[in-house]
Amino acid sequence: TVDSSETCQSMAENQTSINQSSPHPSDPDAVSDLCQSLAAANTRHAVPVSCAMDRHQSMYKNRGRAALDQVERRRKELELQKQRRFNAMSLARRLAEDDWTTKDVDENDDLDDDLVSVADTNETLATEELTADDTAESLQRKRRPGKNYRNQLMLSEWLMEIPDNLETEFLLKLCPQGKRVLVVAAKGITKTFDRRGRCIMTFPSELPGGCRQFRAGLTVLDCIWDTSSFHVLDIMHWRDLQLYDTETSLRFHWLETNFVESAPNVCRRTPKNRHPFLIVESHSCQRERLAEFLTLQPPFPLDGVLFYHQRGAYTFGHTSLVGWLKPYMLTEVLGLPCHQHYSIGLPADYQGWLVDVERFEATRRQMALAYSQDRQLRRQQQQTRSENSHSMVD
Amino acid sequence: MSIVTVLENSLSQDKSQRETALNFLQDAANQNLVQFLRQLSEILRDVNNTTFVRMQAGLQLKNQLYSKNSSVRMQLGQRWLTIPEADRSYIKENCLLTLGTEVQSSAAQAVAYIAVIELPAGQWANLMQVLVANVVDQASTPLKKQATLQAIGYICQDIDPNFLSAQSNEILTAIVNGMKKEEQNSNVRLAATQALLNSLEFTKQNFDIDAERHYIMQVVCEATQCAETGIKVAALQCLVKIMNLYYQYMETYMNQALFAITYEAMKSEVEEVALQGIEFWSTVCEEEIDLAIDEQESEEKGLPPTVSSKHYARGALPYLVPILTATLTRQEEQDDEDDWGPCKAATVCLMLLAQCAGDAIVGAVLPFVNDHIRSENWRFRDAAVMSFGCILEGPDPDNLRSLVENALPVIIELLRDPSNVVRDTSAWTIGRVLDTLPGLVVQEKFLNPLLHGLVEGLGAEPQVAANVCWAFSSLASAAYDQAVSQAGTSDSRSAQVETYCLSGFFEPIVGKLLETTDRQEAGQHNLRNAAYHALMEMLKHSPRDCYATLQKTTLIVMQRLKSIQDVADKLQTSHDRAQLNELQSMLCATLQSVLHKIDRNDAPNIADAVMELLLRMLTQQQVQQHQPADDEAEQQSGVQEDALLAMAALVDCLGEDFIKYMEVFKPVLLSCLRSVTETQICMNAVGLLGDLCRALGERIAPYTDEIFVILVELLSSQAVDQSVKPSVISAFSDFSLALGPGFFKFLEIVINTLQQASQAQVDVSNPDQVDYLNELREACLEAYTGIVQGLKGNGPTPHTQELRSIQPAVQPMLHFIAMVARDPVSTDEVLGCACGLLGDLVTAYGADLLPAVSDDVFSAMLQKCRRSKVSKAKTLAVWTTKEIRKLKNLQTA
Repeated sequence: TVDSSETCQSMAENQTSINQSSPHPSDPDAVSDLCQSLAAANTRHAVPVSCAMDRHQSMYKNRGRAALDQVERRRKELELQKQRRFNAMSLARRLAEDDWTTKDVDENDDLDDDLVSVADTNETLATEELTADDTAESLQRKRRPGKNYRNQLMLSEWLMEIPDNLETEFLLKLCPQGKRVLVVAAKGITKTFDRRGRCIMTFPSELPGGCRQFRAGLTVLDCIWDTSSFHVLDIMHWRDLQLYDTETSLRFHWLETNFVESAPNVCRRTPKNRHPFLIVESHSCQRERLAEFLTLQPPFPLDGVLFYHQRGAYTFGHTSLVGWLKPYMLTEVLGLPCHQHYSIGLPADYQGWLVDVERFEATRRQMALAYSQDRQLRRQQQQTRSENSHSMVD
Repeated sequence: MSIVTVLENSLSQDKSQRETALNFLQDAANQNLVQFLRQLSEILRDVNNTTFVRMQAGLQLKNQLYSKNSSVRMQLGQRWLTIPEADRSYIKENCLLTLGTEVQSSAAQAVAYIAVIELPAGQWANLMQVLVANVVDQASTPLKKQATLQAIGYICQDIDPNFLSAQSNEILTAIVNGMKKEEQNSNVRLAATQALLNSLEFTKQNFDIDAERHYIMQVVCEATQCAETGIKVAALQCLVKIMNLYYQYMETYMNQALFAITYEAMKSEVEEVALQGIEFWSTVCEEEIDLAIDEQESEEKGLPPTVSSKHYARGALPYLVPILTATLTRQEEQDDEDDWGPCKAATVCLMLLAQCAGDAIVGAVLPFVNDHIRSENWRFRDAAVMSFGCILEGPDPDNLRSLVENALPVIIELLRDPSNVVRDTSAWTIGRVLDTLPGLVVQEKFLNPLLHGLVEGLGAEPQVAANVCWAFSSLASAAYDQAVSQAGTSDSRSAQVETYCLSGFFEPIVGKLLETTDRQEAGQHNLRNAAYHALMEMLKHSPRDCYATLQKTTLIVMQRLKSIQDVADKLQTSHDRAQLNELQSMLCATLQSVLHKIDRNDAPNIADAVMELLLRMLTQQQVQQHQPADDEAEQQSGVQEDALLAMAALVDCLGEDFIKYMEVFKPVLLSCLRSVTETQICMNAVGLLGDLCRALGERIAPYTDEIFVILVELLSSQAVDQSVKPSVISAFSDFSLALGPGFFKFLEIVINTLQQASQAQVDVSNPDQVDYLNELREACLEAYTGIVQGLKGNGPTPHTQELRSIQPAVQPMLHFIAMVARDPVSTDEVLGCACGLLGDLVTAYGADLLPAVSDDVFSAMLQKCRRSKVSKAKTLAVWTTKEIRKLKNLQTA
């Protein structure tokens, strides 16, 4: 093992200032055996030229491919491991975007202008709408919709079993009907983005950063838009406060107390606050408390019910730390009587919660299939059109 | 019994006599090596012995000096050097005196083997003088000159060029003397030309001098005009190699001579001559492709390129294409995999020419394709398809689109051509088309006929089937990529596609591929490998609606692995074992690719069985390694390597649930980590640690002490390959991220190690070493990042106490970042990591660090990376800039 007795001392000695240091420290005493062992890289000879013909031979048809692919496959696998480490680090840096391979959408050379976390954007790109006629190729050529706002929402998974610690570790939120959006207020304007990162609305609000009078700060919210108001499910950033890696219970607490206090006008409709922001309250999952709450009439038309794990951070994409049920499933799942509004939408042939979930999933798959077939069809039409217009080369 | 008699018997018809003789020789070597070697050298030298006995003596001498196994070879060399000087001199003298006394010289080899041992050790200093004198001496017989030149050639071939460059003048004098057209004896001339071929690497200083270079080039060019085919071919080989080594000096010769010489050679009726003519132009293309890349890089950096391309290949295009396409029609009737002749070489040359010339190749080759693709003569059909396939890489794909659309239906038809050569080439070409224009081929109008043709092709001759398999590999990713781009990325599961154009055919294709791996002749032409690769690609690129088939295939693969393991236990011969290992490796890789696709919910159902298979594979291999292996190839079997990668996939798939296997897996993991001589196994085991850390988080803590000791040992070990060390250092970052404050106990040692490692220096003139340095630094930066992030914690408020404990290391870290930033050899990848660490430090230590990070060296680095083409570097630099800016804003506010 390594002798560490002198570590502290040597660390202290190393504290010279940057300006004094040279790029290549040349003190021979500082270079230990380990250092040498690391530096003594194996000298590899340049590939002998006599191999040129062998190399050419392996290029003939797929002759050298099996061996190459084998090496390549293993190398790729190790690359993936590296990538996984990088992702883990990026997560800690709150940089957890899925896609690192595509070129960044915005040229960040204007960084010296105004800098606020995720609020940087290039408006023309973020608002660029994709039409259904876009072919795969043109999609690739065109810049993708604001990548910065894609996959920025924490999405639930079907609650397929009741967690043992539901009562102690989970919080319940009712989810109103509407469109799931990311709200970002920064640099004097408020924008909303759909799940794919497309900007759908731009308007003033009294959120910090959200209108010309409140340019300072940044607000990032997770909301449902019901075409007249925003129902705030979650809060990720408020002024200078970064909340992504704060536990859910704290984020909710913050939302339900400080949010309204510090910006009382946001729940109203005013010229400076064009759409009201209404807070969706969280509820304990303790049985008695739930039993009471569920008999009350829900405050808005329900899309579903969310179960948040208290200790989770705000993550991007689907997470098992947030569960989802349709309102009419609650009575069965929790074994508690609910207000009649919870039964709205109950299918006539309802055969129980798990069967119903499977039905939803099947529909989703079908729709995805249909969607992709539709795309394909459109693409073919496009292809035919372009074929007809192109002259054939013989 | 005299040794002469024994040597006579050593190749006797009678088996027992032969064995007795060989045993006797072995005993003699064991009992008194010096005496034995002296005797052999005497027998070799004595012209009264029969040719046969002298050759055997030379062979025995060689066996005591040289082995194909590199470690044995080193031992033999060291043993030779321990022999007393006087005895060695005696033996060497005998060998030298033998030169010129044999028709087929064994002495030339003996001299060379001794020289290869002694010259690097700084001994036998006068050898070259003696050899040169032999060649230049008017009185030397042609036989003596020939043997001497052969000895020089062998030495040049086997020795590190560095040990000879000081003597390049003498060596060249001897060689050129023997090569001149005045030399009457063609054996001497041939030996000299071959020696030149082997000496070109270390005669750079002679090539740098105009007069000397002119002279060498003149002699070589003259030799290409020799009537003797052997000499002509060797001289052409010299030109190929000269082109590769000294491109920058060739301008004068190219115009005056080389173009004409090689053009004529390509047209030669003699295959070996034509082959070298083609190889010459392949080499020109390769050089110019490399130069084009260099030029582009230099341009980006704003530097003038050191050597610039003269675009010989593009200039010669109109002359080369007709010869190459004509040569393509000279196929062998029955293709032998090991044959290499003008026809195949022309294929490769045309491919390289396309890469070199880009769009210009299309117009030059297209008429030939159009004229012959429907020819009655299969040779012309094949050549047409082949030349079409060759030009797909190089031109702008958009310019090929309409061309490919027109040709594709014909090529799909040709998958059913009566000629198997044409079928084979068509399958290969379709793979190339899929690689070049993936989106085009998967259109429905092509897809249906294509799939029918391909599936049918899987049943064809092994060679055709193998190329069909490669086409399936390309098709799998082409189809999947199309689906991904069509679906857009609507949610975070963007990688998970619902369906794609192959969904309807998926099950039959996979079934047929599985069948193909089982074909009787699957061992030929790499068919089995190709089929498994295709299978892997299909599974890796499968959408959700093919999941049932994926599940079914997983079970089949597992079943196959199990039955192989049962057989493997009973196998005796190493040949069978090697074959089985390869099969196991492929199956294991297939398993790995399905594990990446298996639903988290399904994973637990197969985890036990997969674990059992992998453990068995890892332990079985360990047993085998401890048995003496018959040859090196077997030792290098990748089964363990693949098993570890599959294990990583399983860990990734199971996440925290993997913890239940840790107890059984631990001993195997430790033993793999300790496989210092098996670089890849060690490396993969270290990589697997990272996945374990990420999956298990803090729960890996009970195992870390033991592992940590091994990691530290690996770092200081001399036996372990250098390439493992950066991975080990990176593994520290995985530990730290997983353990958080639990990493505290390792901190001192790790910080100390990192500080030492970050000072490592290498020979910056060697690109390999520069790569290594960058890898090492990247690893150190990652490790620091892991430590800072791990100790800081994930919560909104940093763990101040833990952070304070590494405060003394902050300055050295900044130092290191500055050093990396200033070093011109740092790549953008490394700089990106440095930016990342800088940002981590800023977020952890806050405003205190602002004065230090305001240093120009950091702002310059951040600015450079923000403009980088490497997206990671860019992202990290942007992030760090923002973090710094946030802090500054906070301060001023």
